[in-house]
Amino acid sequence: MKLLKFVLIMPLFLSAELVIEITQGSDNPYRIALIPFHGGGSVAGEANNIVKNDLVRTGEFYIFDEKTLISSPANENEINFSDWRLINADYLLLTSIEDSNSGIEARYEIFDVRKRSKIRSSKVYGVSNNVRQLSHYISDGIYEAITGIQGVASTKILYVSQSNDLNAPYKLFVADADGKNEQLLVKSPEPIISPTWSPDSKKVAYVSFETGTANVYIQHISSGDRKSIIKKTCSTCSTNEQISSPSWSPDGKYLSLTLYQDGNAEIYIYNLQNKNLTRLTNHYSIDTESKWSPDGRKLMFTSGRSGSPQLYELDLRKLNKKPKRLTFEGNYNAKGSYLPSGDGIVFVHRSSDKFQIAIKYFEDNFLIPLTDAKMDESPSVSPNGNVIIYAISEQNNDILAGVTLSGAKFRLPSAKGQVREPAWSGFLK
Amino acid sequence: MMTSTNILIASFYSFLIHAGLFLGFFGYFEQTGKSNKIVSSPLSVKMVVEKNNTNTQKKNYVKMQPDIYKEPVTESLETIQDIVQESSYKIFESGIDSLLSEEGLSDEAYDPDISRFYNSIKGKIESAWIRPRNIPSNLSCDLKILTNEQGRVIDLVLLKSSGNIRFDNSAMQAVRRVETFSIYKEMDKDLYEDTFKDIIFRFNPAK
Repeated sequence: MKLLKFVLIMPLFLSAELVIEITQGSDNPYRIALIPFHGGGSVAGEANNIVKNDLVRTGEFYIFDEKTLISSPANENEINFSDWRLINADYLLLTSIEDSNSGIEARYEIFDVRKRSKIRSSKVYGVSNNVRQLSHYISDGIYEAITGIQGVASTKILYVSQSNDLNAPYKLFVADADGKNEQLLVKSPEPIISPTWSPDSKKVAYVSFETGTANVYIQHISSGDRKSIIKKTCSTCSTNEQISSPSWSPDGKYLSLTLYQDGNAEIYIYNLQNKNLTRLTNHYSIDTESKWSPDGRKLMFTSGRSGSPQLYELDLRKLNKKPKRLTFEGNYNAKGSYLPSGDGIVFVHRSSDKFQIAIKYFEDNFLIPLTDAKMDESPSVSPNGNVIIYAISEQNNDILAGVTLSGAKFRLPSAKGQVREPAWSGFLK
Repeated sequence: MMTSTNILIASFYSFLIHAGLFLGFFGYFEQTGKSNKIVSSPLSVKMVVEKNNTNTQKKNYVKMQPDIYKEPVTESLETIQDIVQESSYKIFESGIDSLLSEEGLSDEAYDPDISRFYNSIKGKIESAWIRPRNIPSNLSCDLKILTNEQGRVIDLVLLKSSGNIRFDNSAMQAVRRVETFSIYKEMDKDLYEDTFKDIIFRFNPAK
């Protein structure tokens, strides 16, 4: 014991580094003082609201209420850092916006209150009448400067809506990540399902029943051009013959699909260049909802081969190997997607009659539930891996909601009707 | 005549069996077992020699040594070996940093002054660290900071990444948020130079 004491004190004379182990953390988000945008009239107010909402939605910031701001410095020289430290602000944002005929010009500066220094200053230009896009860019810049992670405010989401419109109740929309700026891509009297993005986020693929049978379409977002890639040509096809859940490979060359060619759902890969179909699974139970891993080497799908829906993973370089089962908790795990980092999956998990969104990391042997509602479905992960958007059903109304990994939850404004099957685009920059 | 010899033989065997049983009850066979053991055990008793003892201890510490310390320690390694030769405490050769981290500086045997500073610094970082939620469970990362005499952080290096960008960022932000450890004002210069100039923070929520 004496020796041990000596050993403990000895290092002091050695000038060895001290190791302090940190095991606890606080729950306080970063406190940000956003000084309202200077100049520009109505544009300034709009930009201010959008940036503020974007930052709050990440769940990682607390934005001071405008009324509690102690002063409103117009430029760097007017900042008194000690004042801002007193109210425990971590960062101070100075912003200005100028709307002219040639376009909108905005400027933002981020100050670290404790360091008493500027950590980023940037100018953003945009076409007039598009304050929204410009503001999303500003929010992403702020988020990245503070957290070091690329922001997703300027990305898009794709979703299907069903309204009471008798001529064309089914519509496919693309909207900003905050649910605003909705734009119609296609409308149809028959259902549209399984929308998905191409890896470069310039095209979308979906399954439409507009001709009476299921067809997969690929549509360019900007031009609106579209073509059907797999047509049912066989004459013996029954009417319930289906195609569903297309998913683009990360290199953009293949599309994985669920086909019901022999009356049973199996996973196929469709080569977009030479139009060859390759069958991947062969099991008498249902195999569906395939998704490519970010490195393109694996394919995850939902299968009932164990008696209940569970997620399996197929190694595309070892196709003769049995698929590896990924989920073991409970009797329902489906609609999986990979995290962009490839270190885990997000899926729908059922626990005691509740369908919730859960995350599971490959190195952990347990899952973490992210939501706690009755009917959550169709999770889609943001390109930075920090936010998950999903469809919820409450009071017979289907809307979209989001949850961030930091625990913040939000809802997207639903225009009209039932909204489901959201799909998050990649980074658009 | 025949029957009585048979009885004699039978009673002889029964005597042998009963004697064996009795001996068994009173532990005769165990005793012999024990004495047998004694024959071999002194050999192992001889093993306890002081030199060997330090050797076995050293092995233990080597095991405890986290592999990440191979890199950060390199700069102070020379000093460690000097001392080792002077005081011939072979035990230090590899075990110093593991001892530091494993036995913990908050140990009662420690200088109360140091543990006060230690706890204050630890508390400050802990209240500034926004621990990311919903991340893999077994993450840990190491940061090394260099402070000046006023306790201001002048350099911050990520020694070992956890592999998760959110986790690493949150740890670095925690240190940046604290920026200055005000308790350094109460520290004398020797203590600062010896212990608190460089600090390694290990962010390890799994523990």
